[in-house]
Amino acid sequence: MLETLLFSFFNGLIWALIVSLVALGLCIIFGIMRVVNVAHGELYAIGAIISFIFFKDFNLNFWIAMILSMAVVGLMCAILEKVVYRVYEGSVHITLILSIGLALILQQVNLIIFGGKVAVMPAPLEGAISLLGVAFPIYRILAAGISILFLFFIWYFLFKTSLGLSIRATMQDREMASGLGINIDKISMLTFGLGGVLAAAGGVLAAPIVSVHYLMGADILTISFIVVIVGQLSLRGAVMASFLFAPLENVLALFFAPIIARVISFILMCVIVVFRQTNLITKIRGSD
Amino acid sequence: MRKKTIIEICVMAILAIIAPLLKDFSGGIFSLMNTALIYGVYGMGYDLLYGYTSQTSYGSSLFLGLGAYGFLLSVRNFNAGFFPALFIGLLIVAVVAIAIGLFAVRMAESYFVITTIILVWIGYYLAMNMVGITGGDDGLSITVPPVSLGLIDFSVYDPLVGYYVFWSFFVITFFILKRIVSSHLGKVFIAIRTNPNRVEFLGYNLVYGKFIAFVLSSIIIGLAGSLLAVRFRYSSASYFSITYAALPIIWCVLGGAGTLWGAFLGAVIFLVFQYFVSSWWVNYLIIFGVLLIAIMKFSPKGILGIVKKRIKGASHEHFRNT
Amino acid sequence: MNILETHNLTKKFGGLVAVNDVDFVLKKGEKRGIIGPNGAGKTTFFNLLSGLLMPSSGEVIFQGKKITHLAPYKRTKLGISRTFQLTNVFFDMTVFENVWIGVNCRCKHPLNPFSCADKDTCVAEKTKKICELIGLGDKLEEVAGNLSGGDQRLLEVAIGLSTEPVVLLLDEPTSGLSPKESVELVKTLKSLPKELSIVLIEHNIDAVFDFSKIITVFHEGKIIAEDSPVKIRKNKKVKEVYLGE
Repeated sequence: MLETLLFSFFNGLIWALIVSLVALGLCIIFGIMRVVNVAHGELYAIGAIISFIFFKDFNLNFWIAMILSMAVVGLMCAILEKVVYRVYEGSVHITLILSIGLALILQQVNLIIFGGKVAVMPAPLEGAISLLGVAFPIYRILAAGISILFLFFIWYFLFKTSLGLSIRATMQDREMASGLGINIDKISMLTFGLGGVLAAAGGVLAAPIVSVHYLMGADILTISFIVVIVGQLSLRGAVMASFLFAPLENVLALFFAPIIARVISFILMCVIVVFRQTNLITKIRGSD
Repeated sequence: MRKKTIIEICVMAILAIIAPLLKDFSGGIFSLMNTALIYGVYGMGYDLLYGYTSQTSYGSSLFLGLGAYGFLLSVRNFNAGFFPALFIGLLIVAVVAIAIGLFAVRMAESYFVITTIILVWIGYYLAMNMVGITGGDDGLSITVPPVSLGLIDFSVYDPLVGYYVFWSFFVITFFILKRIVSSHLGKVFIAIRTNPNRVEFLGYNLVYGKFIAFVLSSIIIGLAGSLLAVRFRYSSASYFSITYAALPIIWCVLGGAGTLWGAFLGAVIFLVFQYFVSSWWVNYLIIFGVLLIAIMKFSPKGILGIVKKRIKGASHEHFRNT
Repeated sequence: MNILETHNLTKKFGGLVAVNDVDFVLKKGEKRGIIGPNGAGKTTFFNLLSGLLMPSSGEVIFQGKKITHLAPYKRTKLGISRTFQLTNVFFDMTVFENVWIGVNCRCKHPLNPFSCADKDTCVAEKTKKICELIGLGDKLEEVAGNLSGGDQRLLEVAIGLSTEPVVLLLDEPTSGLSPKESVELVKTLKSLPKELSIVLIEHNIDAVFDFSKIITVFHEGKIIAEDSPVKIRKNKKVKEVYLGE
């Protein structure tokens, strides 16, 4: 029993890292462009699908397939930013419709190139090692390590480079940043591309664990959104919330159906939000 | 405004008169019109929320499914009559809408959308999971009880009668919504849509106004769901899916948000397209994704927006004429 | 009778103290002007009075009752109305419709879903009257977004009047108006009912000195002087800080 619990918990930690990557992408995109990217789940899926195709059909090494997939999705997103979103950034209302349109398109594209099948992506590393007495697949530990590496890169990029500083400044105050000479257009393009890269990375890393299916984005989208709300659209908040919800859900899934675990997460999210609202009643009132 | 009402009544009359003609001329188009009337109710209900108070919800299919299953399960498990089953369906939708609304409409726009998306996926997976109750993706069927009006019973199994049942609900819903939209409440809705922040300083509880719109909208969407169960004598978990949640958004944007008619127009265009295209191209939804983007870029007020511009030569909509 | 007061009203934004321990008293029917350099806290003060912001500490009292944490819409219902420094009208609606919304909130059933709003003559009459008073009577069907900047400022004031206020807070109503229009507006404001208490934030010194019985001077979040216009003109501190002499 304890072993199963520990296994679920470790799984939850891995999942938390992957959710962090995806949720970070959502936060950054919203922070810079004020876009609620409902197509994010589709980006995650297309990342997994493209890497699968590179892996299976082109016989590329898993890691090369991953990098290529991230690059393709990132590039695609950068172009989409320029072509679709550019003029409307800042307006949540309008860009939401654009994102819905994009989600519809991408979902069908995923269906077209991958079909309706569920495919198992073989892990690049087989075997398991013993963690606290529990046999744990090596690949998952590797995936965790890579996720941590990515998170570190993101942190370093955002907090230790001047480009990252520009991005954070734009997230804080778009107009001010523009007034200071920061090229908002370039930042937006970079941001959306980065969001795509992160989503695709999440998808590829998750593929050997959850299998590839054209609708695989639905699950990650929901949990990412829950985490983003609890984290109040902040970067640190999203990561921290991931580590609350993902392990919780994984452990709960031992006792209830996965969907019930998700419902519990949602209820927890509602409780936290309501609690915060009542506490904030005497503070600043304002809108988005 | 009088002229507009006459046109509307004419359109309703035409929709009634063409029924027997269509039925004999083309079974396919006749069937399409049946669905169009129901989708019209769905779209108009959604337009109240999206077009009149600018609350973009991506979770309307939750109420569609609840309305469908509310009706279906009342008939199937409790042998309810037509109107009692309808009432139970709408009651369930109302209770859920109130519970969600109390919590969700307070949120800023971005959070609100995100919450509705989470809800729709949860609703969908719950429906898929609770196969015993919902029949999952395969769904459940019923024999629809006759519509009892006093001493006369109408059976929806007669194609023409079925059509007129849906037509009646469409007409009633339309005129109720039209009245709401041109009432004091409706003007306040439009003010909320135009400048939500200012409205608070004019004596209106913004959250309360949005809440009313949310609940009313959800109930009408629930009605559409129940009508779907009547139409197809069947409901499945797919009614809860994100695709069904995207449909009214497509219709409203395509036809023109904030006009009621736009939603119906969008639904008809969608159904016609689906009728002719879906059999040879499964992925036809892509076109609507592209359309959503194109419309927002080139004509955000949809088809009716273009028409209005041409007719009135004005670039703004006066709520007096809505 | 004190219609509006604040006690030790303070608002901090992180380390910045925008409004600093302000005691303010407005009597019924008073015509008050507020001046002060940019960033002195005048608009923040209005935000605290109208409910857009909640204070860090202190109280706001209206007709003897504490309203410090009351929601904006409730304050409007009590009779506090405000206009905005940056024109904040309903741009997509006509002048008539803009003013109608505020007038409607005072009618018996403002959220009535069964009525036909266009047939409500009571609200329509009141709306027309306010528009005529402000000088927009001939522009009722103009869409607000198409109005000139000056007319939009007038519309702001009209909207402020639409909710039948007891206290009217006007935030730089003459900004964007020509000198002639400013004089007109002050004339109109002076013609408003005597019982209506008005507080005017202004940078237009002539206008505010012409209109107000008492001038309150803000500087760095505090009130540094409060006196008749004549005395304020001579006040050394005020000259230093604001009038730049």
